[in-house]
Amino acid sequence: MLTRGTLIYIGQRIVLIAFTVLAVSSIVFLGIHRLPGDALFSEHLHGQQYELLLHHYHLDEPLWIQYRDYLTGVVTRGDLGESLVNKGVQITPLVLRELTISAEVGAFALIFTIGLGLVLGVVAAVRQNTWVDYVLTTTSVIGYSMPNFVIATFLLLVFAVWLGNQTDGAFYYQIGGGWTGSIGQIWLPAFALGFPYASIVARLTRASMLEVIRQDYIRTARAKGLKETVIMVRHALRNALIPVTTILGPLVIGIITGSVIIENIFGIPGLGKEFAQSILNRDYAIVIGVFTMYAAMVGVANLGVDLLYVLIDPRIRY
Amino acid sequence: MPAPILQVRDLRTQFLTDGGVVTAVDGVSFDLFPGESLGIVGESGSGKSVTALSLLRLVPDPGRVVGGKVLFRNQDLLQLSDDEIRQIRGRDIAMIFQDPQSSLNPVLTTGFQIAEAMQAHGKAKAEANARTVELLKRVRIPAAESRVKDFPHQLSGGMRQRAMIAMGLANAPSILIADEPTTALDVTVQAQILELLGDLNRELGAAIVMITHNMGVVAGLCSRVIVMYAGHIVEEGPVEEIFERPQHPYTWSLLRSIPRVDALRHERLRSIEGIAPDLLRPPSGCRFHPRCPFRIERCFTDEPTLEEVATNQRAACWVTMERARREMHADDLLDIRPGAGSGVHPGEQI
Repeated sequence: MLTRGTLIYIGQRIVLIAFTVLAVSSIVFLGIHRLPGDALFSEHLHGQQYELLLHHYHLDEPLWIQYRDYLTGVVTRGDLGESLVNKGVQITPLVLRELTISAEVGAFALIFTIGLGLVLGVVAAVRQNTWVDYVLTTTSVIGYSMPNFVIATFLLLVFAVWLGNQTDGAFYYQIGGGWTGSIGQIWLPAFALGFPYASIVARLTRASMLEVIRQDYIRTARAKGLKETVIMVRHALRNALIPVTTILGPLVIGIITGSVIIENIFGIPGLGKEFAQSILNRDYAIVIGVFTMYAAMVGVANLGVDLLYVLIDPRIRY
Repeated sequence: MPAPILQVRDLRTQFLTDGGVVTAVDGVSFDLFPGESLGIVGESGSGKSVTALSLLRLVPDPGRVVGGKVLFRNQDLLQLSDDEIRQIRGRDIAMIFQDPQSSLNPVLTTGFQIAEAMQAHGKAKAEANARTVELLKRVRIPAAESRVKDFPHQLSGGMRQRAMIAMGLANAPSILIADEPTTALDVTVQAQILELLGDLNRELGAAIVMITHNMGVVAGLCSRVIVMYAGHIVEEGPVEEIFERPQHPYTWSLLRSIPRVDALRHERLRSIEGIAPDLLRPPSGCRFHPRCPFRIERCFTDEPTLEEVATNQRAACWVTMERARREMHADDLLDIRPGAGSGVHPGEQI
């Protein structure tokens, strides 16, 4: 599986991701300073105090020098700088901690997306043109025609308001105030985030399965006397997964970006919440840091999907 | 003659299409004897492949076997439960298919797919794997030990079909149904595959049912042949008899249309005039009459049944070639348009 060619390919892709991330953070760095207002403005500081702060953050220097310093910091020390709003808070550990929280939600959402999507798709295909199929197909149409924030609001209404005891109103508990946190009732935000994509996966899986089960090799498998479940899982699903994998890339990115809204609705202190907050606060350094993290995640997710192909389809080799 | 291993009686298979009911196999009956190799020939749409698929109940949707019996070891395969027929498939009656490229699963190794056929019928994994290598050697795949780990796309077309045959033989079945196994292969490989099937038939004693549209394949491999046209059996008998003295005009036309190397260069290739009938609206009487050079009035209205025309040879024809030769000079006939030999052209009746 991990041939020399594959390793070289992974290496090349990682270099490419690094360059992409650098390019993204540069563009954001240059762009963010064009936004009206600044972080220090809201502090109602005047005169020397203001000047001192500007100097502390090197904001009084020409943009290109700031950019050079920032770049050296990132490349040599992985240092994304210091928060403008909360003085003294280093951004790198902050976004890394938030990343773990977002990753937790994202991973659960992905489990919903893929698990639920595949099961629904396969069942609908196997029971094609029966009421099971119609119910599942209708559900998935509803699923992907509803934006995740609508689903999230409904879930909140049902589980946090009508059945208030289900959640205690909180979706995130911090443990010891440190690096690790636990997300209570994680399945709610994960479901809201993953369900629209699960519907897409379900529809695609259904279509893909329907095509595969008409293939000659499925007939061969039947002629061998294999059990129907073995035929469906081992022979049909494996082949049906190939087109499904193709949309997994955009889908993972959708989950990553979707987390911006979901985390805000559920009050989860992850990267997505920080993303929105930092833009509103004009906290330049954090905005850049969060963007950089997002760019890296998208790059890694795409690489992961491309490597999945190798696992699923032996005809694909890098 | 020994007792037949498989008896097919009045088999009928229909496809429920949007346009109506297509009876692809309409009252087919034949016997298969242990160890023999039987050819079923016919052009596309004659029902030969559907007949083969019907035996193991593998007819794809929207097809249904609607009638008849398939007797194997005193049980009617059409009456078995899904699990019981599954036990028969691949173990007692194995089947190999036309296009080994699409008939092998692209994401599983060839060796796995062969071993799987044995594991499905209770063989332990290690034993199945060991036998897989043996089988690949048996079907003359070079470097069998390393080939088991190859995926289908890493094998040539001929090797893929050999692997398919190995899969078919995995459980030492008493019947091997081969549905056009050489059609997708080039000619030299075709010959090798046929030779292999012939050897296996002799050595292992498995009865072979060879489905093909190629008369050459039948001549090379089979001892007995069934000719199908539009869902009916029109003629059956020993290969030598059928090739020497075909009695049904359709068989005669098929044999006549085989291109010959010694034919004159400027001579046109001979074909059968007209096209195969639309099974949604099959012709009245004999189904071949719209294309038959020797048709008589009766052929338009009455459906002929299979009758003994010589020892072990049966044909479903009101005229038969014997009479066509005698009275209509069939062998000298150049014009083979419908009714050309008999002079019966009741156009308005068609």
